Amino acid sequence: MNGGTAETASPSGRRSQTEARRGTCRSEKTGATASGWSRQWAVDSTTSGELEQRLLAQVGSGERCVVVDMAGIEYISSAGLRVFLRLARKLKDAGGTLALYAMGEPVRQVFELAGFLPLFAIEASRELAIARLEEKRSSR
Amino acid sequence: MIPIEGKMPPRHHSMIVPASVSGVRQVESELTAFAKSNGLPTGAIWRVQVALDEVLSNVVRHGSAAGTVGSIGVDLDLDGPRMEIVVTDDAPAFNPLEAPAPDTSVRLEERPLGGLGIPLIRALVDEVRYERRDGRNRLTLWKTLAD
Repeated sequence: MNGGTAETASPSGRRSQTEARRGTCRSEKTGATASGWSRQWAVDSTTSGELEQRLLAQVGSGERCVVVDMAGIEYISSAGLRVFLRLARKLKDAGGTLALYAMGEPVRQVFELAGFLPLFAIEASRELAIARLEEKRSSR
Repeated sequence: MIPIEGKMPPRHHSMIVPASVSGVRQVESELTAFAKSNGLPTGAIWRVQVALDEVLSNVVRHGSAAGTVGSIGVDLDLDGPRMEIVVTDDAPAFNPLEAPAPDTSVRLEERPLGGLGIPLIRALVDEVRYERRDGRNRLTLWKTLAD
Protein backbone atom coordinates (compact mmCIF):
# COMPACT_ATOMS: atom_id res chain seq x y z
CA MET A 1 0.00 0.00 0.00
CA ASN A 2 3.02 2.21 0.14
CA GLY A 3 3.62 4.62 -2.68
CA GLY A 4 1.05 3.62 -5.18
CA THR A 5 1.76 3.58 -8.85
CA ALA A 6 -0.28 6.20 -10.54
CA GLU A 7 -0.63 6.37 -14.25
CA THR A 8 -2.13 9.19 -16.19
CA ALA A 9 -4.05 8.43 -19.32
CA SER A 10 -3.00 10.60 -22.24
CA PRO A 11 -3.84 14.10 -21.08
CA SER A 12 -4.32 15.99 -24.32
CA GLY A 13 -3.66 19.27 -22.57
CA ARG A 14 -3.31 21.74 -25.40
CA ARG A 15 -6.23 20.43 -27.41
CA SER A 16 -8.64 20.43 -24.50
CA GLN A 17 -7.50 23.88 -23.48
CA THR A 18 -8.62 25.05 -26.90
CA GLU A 19 -11.88 23.20 -26.50
CA ALA A 20 -12.32 24.68 -23.06
CA ARG A 21 -12.07 28.15 -24.51
CA ARG A 22 -14.78 27.22 -26.93
CA GLY A 23 -16.78 26.11 -23.91
CA THR A 24 -16.87 22.35 -24.22
CA CYS A 25 -15.32 19.38 -22.49
CA ARG A 26 -17.09 16.78 -24.56
CA SER A 27 -15.92 13.82 -26.61
CA GLU A 28 -13.05 11.41 -26.36
CA LYS A 29 -11.08 13.66 -28.68
CA THR A 30 -11.11 16.72 -26.51
CA GLY A 31 -10.75 14.31 -23.62
CA ALA A 32 -11.26 15.43 -20.11
CA THR A 33 -8.22 14.20 -18.26
CA ALA A 34 -8.51 10.85 -16.59
CA SER A 35 -6.23 9.99 -13.76
CA GLY A 36 -6.43 6.26 -13.31
CA TRP A 37 -4.48 4.07 -10.99
CA SER A 38 -3.23 0.70 -12.02
CA ARG A 39 -3.64 -0.83 -8.61
CA GLN A 40 -5.35 -0.14 -5.33
CA TRP A 41 -3.62 2.36 -3.13
CA ALA A 42 -4.38 4.37 -0.04
CA VAL A 43 -4.27 8.14 -0.22
CA ASP A 44 -3.07 9.17 3.22
CA SER A 45 -0.45 11.42 4.81
CA THR A 46 2.38 9.34 3.32
CA THR A 47 1.10 9.29 -0.28
CA SER A 48 -1.03 12.43 -0.71
CA GLY A 49 1.95 14.44 -1.95
CA GLU A 50 2.29 12.13 -4.93
CA LEU A 51 -1.41 12.43 -5.75
CA GLU A 52 -1.26 16.20 -5.48
CA GLN A 53 1.74 16.46 -7.78
CA ARG A 54 0.06 14.36 -10.43
CA LEU A 55 -3.25 16.17 -10.31
CA LEU A 56 -1.93 19.71 -10.03
CA ALA A 57 0.56 19.07 -12.83
CA GLN A 58 -2.41 18.63 -15.16
CA VAL A 59 -3.88 21.98 -14.17
CA GLY A 60 -0.44 23.49 -14.58
CA SER A 61 -0.21 22.07 -18.08
CA GLY A 62 -3.36 23.94 -19.05
CA GLU A 63 -5.98 21.28 -18.49
CA ARG A 64 -9.28 22.89 -17.58
CA CYS A 65 -11.70 19.97 -17.84
CA VAL A 66 -10.62 17.40 -15.30
CA VAL A 67 -12.31 14.14 -14.40
CA VAL A 68 -10.61 11.89 -11.88
CA ASP A 69 -11.01 8.12 -11.79
CA MET A 70 -11.31 7.29 -8.10
CA ALA A 71 -11.67 3.53 -8.52
CA GLY A 72 -8.06 2.77 -7.62
CA ILE A 73 -8.24 4.58 -4.30
CA GLU A 74 -8.88 2.03 -1.58
CA TYR A 75 -9.36 4.59 1.16
CA ILE A 76 -8.53 8.23 1.80
CA SER A 77 -7.62 10.27 4.87
CA SER A 78 -7.86 14.02 5.43
CA ALA A 79 -4.48 14.51 3.75
CA GLY A 80 -6.09 13.21 0.55
CA LEU A 81 -9.22 15.29 1.05
CA ARG A 82 -7.06 18.41 1.17
CA VAL A 83 -5.55 17.49 -2.21
CA PHE A 84 -9.00 17.42 -3.80
CA LEU A 85 -9.97 20.66 -2.09
CA ARG A 86 -6.84 22.39 -3.40
CA LEU A 87 -7.36 20.93 -6.88
CA ALA A 88 -10.98 22.12 -7.00
CA ARG A 89 -9.99 25.62 -5.91
CA LYS A 90 -7.14 25.84 -8.33
CA LEU A 91 -9.38 24.73 -11.20
CA LYS A 92 -12.11 27.11 -10.17
CA ASP A 93 -9.65 30.02 -10.08
CA ALA A 94 -8.50 29.05 -13.56
CA GLY A 95 -12.05 28.88 -14.90
CA GLY A 96 -11.98 25.09 -15.10
CA THR A 97 -14.26 22.32 -13.91
CA LEU A 98 -13.77 19.08 -12.02
CA ALA A 99 -15.75 15.87 -11.62
CA LEU A 100 -14.86 12.68 -9.79
CA TYR A 101 -16.11 9.23 -10.77
CA ALA A 102 -16.12 5.55 -9.74
CA MET A 103 -15.57 6.36 -6.09
CA GLY A 104 -15.38 3.33 -3.81
CA GLU A 105 -17.53 3.12 -0.69
CA PRO A 106 -14.80 3.90 1.89
CA VAL A 107 -13.77 6.99 -0.08
CA ARG A 108 -17.39 8.12 -0.44
CA GLN A 109 -17.94 7.69 3.28
CA VAL A 110 -14.93 9.82 4.17
CA PHE A 111 -16.09 12.53 1.73
CA GLU A 112 -19.49 12.38 3.42
CA LEU A 113 -18.15 12.48 6.98
CA ALA A 114 -16.00 15.50 6.13
CA GLY A 115 -18.98 17.29 4.57
CA PHE A 116 -17.29 17.21 1.16
CA LEU A 117 -20.08 15.64 -0.92
CA PRO A 118 -21.83 18.97 -1.70
CA LEU A 119 -18.51 20.49 -2.82
CA PHE A 120 -17.80 18.03 -5.63
CA ALA A 121 -19.47 16.69 -8.76
CA ILE A 122 -19.40 12.93 -8.18
CA GLU A 123 -20.60 10.51 -10.83
CA ALA A 124 -20.66 6.76 -11.36
CA SER A 125 -18.79 6.64 -14.67
CA ARG A 126 -16.38 8.59 -16.81
CA GLU A 127 -19.12 9.28 -19.38
CA LEU A 128 -21.42 10.74 -16.73
CA ALA A 129 -18.54 12.75 -15.25
CA ILE A 130 -17.75 14.31 -18.62
CA ALA A 131 -21.45 15.06 -19.18
CA ARG A 132 -21.50 16.74 -15.77
CA LEU A 133 -18.56 18.98 -16.71
CA GLU A 134 -20.43 19.89 -19.84
CA GLU A 135 -23.48 20.82 -17.80
CA LYS A 136 -21.44 22.90 -15.37
CA ARG A 137 -19.78 24.82 -18.18
CA SER A 138 -22.98 25.58 -20.03
CA SER A 139 -24.71 26.78 -16.88
CA ARG A 140 -22.17 29.53 -16.38
CA MET B 1 -8.45 -16.89 8.19
CA ILE B 2 -8.27 -20.36 9.74
CA PRO B 3 -5.34 -20.82 12.07
CA ILE B 4 -3.05 -23.63 10.95
CA GLU B 5 -2.57 -26.53 13.38
CA GLY B 6 -4.08 -24.59 16.23
CA LYS B 7 -1.43 -21.89 15.94
CA MET B 8 -3.34 -18.68 16.65
CA PRO B 9 -2.13 -15.44 15.11
CA PRO B 10 -0.93 -12.94 17.71
CA ARG B 11 -3.79 -10.87 19.12
CA HIS B 12 -1.40 -8.18 20.21
CA HIS B 13 1.19 -6.22 18.30
CA SER B 14 3.51 -3.50 19.58
CA MET B 15 5.81 -1.24 17.66
CA ILE B 16 7.96 1.81 18.20
CA VAL B 17 8.68 3.95 15.17
CA PRO B 18 10.28 7.35 14.53
CA ALA B 19 7.84 10.27 14.45
CA SER B 20 8.31 10.74 10.71
CA VAL B 21 6.68 9.84 7.41
CA SER B 22 8.66 6.62 7.21
CA GLY B 23 7.50 5.75 10.72
CA VAL B 24 3.88 6.29 9.68
CA ARG B 25 4.46 4.05 6.65
CA GLN B 26 5.84 1.33 8.86
CA VAL B 27 2.82 1.44 11.19
CA GLU B 28 0.51 1.27 8.18
CA SER B 29 2.15 -1.80 6.75
CA GLU B 30 2.34 -3.55 10.13
CA LEU B 31 -1.34 -2.79 10.80
CA THR B 32 -2.21 -4.23 7.38
CA ALA B 33 -0.22 -7.38 8.14
CA PHE B 34 -1.80 -7.67 11.60
CA ALA B 35 -5.30 -7.29 10.12
CA LYS B 36 -4.55 -9.90 7.48
CA SER B 37 -3.12 -12.50 9.84
CA ASN B 38 -6.13 -12.10 12.12
CA GLY B 39 -8.59 -12.18 9.25
CA LEU B 40 -10.07 -8.80 10.21
CA PRO B 41 -12.87 -7.64 7.88
CA THR B 42 -11.53 -5.34 5.16
CA GLY B 43 -14.91 -3.58 5.09
CA ALA B 44 -14.12 -2.23 8.56
CA ILE B 45 -10.34 -2.13 8.93
CA TRP B 46 -10.00 0.85 6.56
CA ARG B 47 -11.71 2.93 9.24
CA VAL B 48 -8.91 2.11 11.66
CA GLN B 49 -6.33 2.76 8.94
CA VAL B 50 -7.75 6.21 8.21
CA ALA B 51 -8.17 7.09 11.90
CA LEU B 52 -4.62 5.95 12.65
CA ASP B 53 -3.24 8.01 9.75
CA GLU B 54 -4.99 11.06 11.22
CA VAL B 55 -3.54 10.39 14.68
CA LEU B 56 -0.02 9.69 13.45
CA SER B 57 0.19 12.57 10.99
CA ASN B 58 -0.93 14.87 13.81
CA VAL B 59 1.83 13.57 16.06
CA VAL B 60 4.44 13.98 13.31
CA ARG B 61 3.29 17.54 12.56
CA HIS B 62 3.00 18.50 16.20
CA GLY B 63 6.38 16.99 17.06
CA SER B 64 8.19 18.66 14.19
CA ALA B 65 6.57 22.01 15.07
CA ALA B 66 8.14 21.59 18.50
CA GLY B 67 11.48 20.94 16.83
CA THR B 68 11.79 17.33 17.91
CA VAL B 69 11.68 14.06 16.05
CA GLY B 70 10.76 11.69 18.77
CA SER B 71 9.30 8.25 18.79
CA ILE B 72 5.78 6.96 18.48
CA GLY B 73 4.59 3.81 20.19
CA VAL B 74 1.65 1.93 18.71
CA ASP B 75 -0.05 -0.99 20.45
CA LEU B 76 -2.73 -3.02 18.70
CA ASP B 77 -4.93 -5.31 20.80
CA LEU B 78 -7.81 -7.54 19.82
CA ASP B 79 -10.47 -8.57 22.28
CA GLY B 80 -12.99 -10.53 20.24
CA PRO B 81 -14.17 -8.20 17.47
CA ARG B 82 -13.07 -5.15 19.48
CA MET B 83 -9.78 -3.55 18.61
CA GLU B 84 -7.90 -1.23 20.91
CA ILE B 85 -5.24 1.03 19.45
CA VAL B 86 -2.95 2.94 21.80
CA VAL B 87 -0.69 5.62 20.37
CA THR B 88 1.90 7.26 22.63
CA ASP B 89 4.46 9.91 21.80
CA ASP B 90 7.08 11.97 23.61
CA ALA B 91 6.19 15.35 22.10
CA PRO B 92 5.10 18.19 24.42
CA ALA B 93 1.66 17.72 25.99
CA PHE B 94 -0.98 18.09 23.32
CA ASN B 95 -4.60 16.99 23.37
CA PRO B 96 -5.76 16.86 19.74
CA LEU B 97 -9.35 16.25 20.86
CA GLU B 98 -9.55 19.83 22.11
CA ALA B 99 -9.18 21.24 18.60
CA PRO B 100 -12.29 23.08 17.42
CA ALA B 101 -14.35 21.42 14.69
CA PRO B 102 -14.12 23.09 11.28
CA ASP B 103 -17.11 24.87 9.79
CA THR B 104 -18.44 22.47 7.16
CA SER B 105 -21.34 24.68 6.16
CA VAL B 106 -19.25 27.05 4.08
CA ARG B 107 -18.49 27.08 0.37
CA LEU B 108 -15.52 25.56 -1.41
CA GLU B 109 -13.47 28.75 -1.32
CA GLU B 110 -13.86 29.22 2.42
CA ARG B 111 -13.65 25.60 3.51
CA PRO B 112 -10.70 25.32 5.91
CA LEU B 113 -7.89 22.98 4.85
CA GLY B 114 -7.05 22.05 8.40
CA GLY B 115 -9.00 20.53 11.24
CA LEU B 116 -10.55 17.74 9.20
CA GLY B 117 -8.68 14.93 10.92
CA ILE B 118 -10.13 14.98 14.43
CA PRO B 119 -13.81 14.91 13.35
CA LEU B 120 -12.89 12.01 11.08
CA ILE B 121 -11.29 10.09 13.94
CA ARG B 122 -14.38 10.63 16.08
CA ALA B 123 -16.66 9.48 13.27
CA LEU B 124 -14.64 6.44 12.24
CA VAL B 125 -14.01 4.78 15.59
CA ASP B 126 -16.37 4.03 18.49
CA GLU B 127 -14.46 5.87 21.17
CA VAL B 128 -11.30 7.94 21.55
CA ARG B 129 -9.62 9.17 24.69
CA TYR B 130 -6.59 11.35 25.46
CA GLU B 131 -4.37 11.15 28.53
CA ARG B 132 -1.02 12.62 29.50
CA ARG B 133 0.76 9.82 31.30
CA ASP B 134 4.41 9.36 32.36
CA GLY B 135 5.46 12.41 30.34
CA ARG B 136 3.92 11.05 27.16
CA ASN B 137 0.81 11.82 25.16
CA ARG B 138 -1.44 8.80 25.01
CA LEU B 139 -4.37 8.51 22.66
CA THR B 140 -6.51 5.38 22.82
CA LEU B 141 -8.99 4.39 20.10
CA TRP B 142 -11.55 1.61 20.29
CA LYS B 143 -13.31 0.11 17.33
CA THR B 144 -15.56 -2.92 17.04
CA LEU B 145 -14.82 -4.49 13.70
CA ALA B 146 -17.76 -5.89 11.83
CA ASP B 147 -18.24 -6.20 8.08
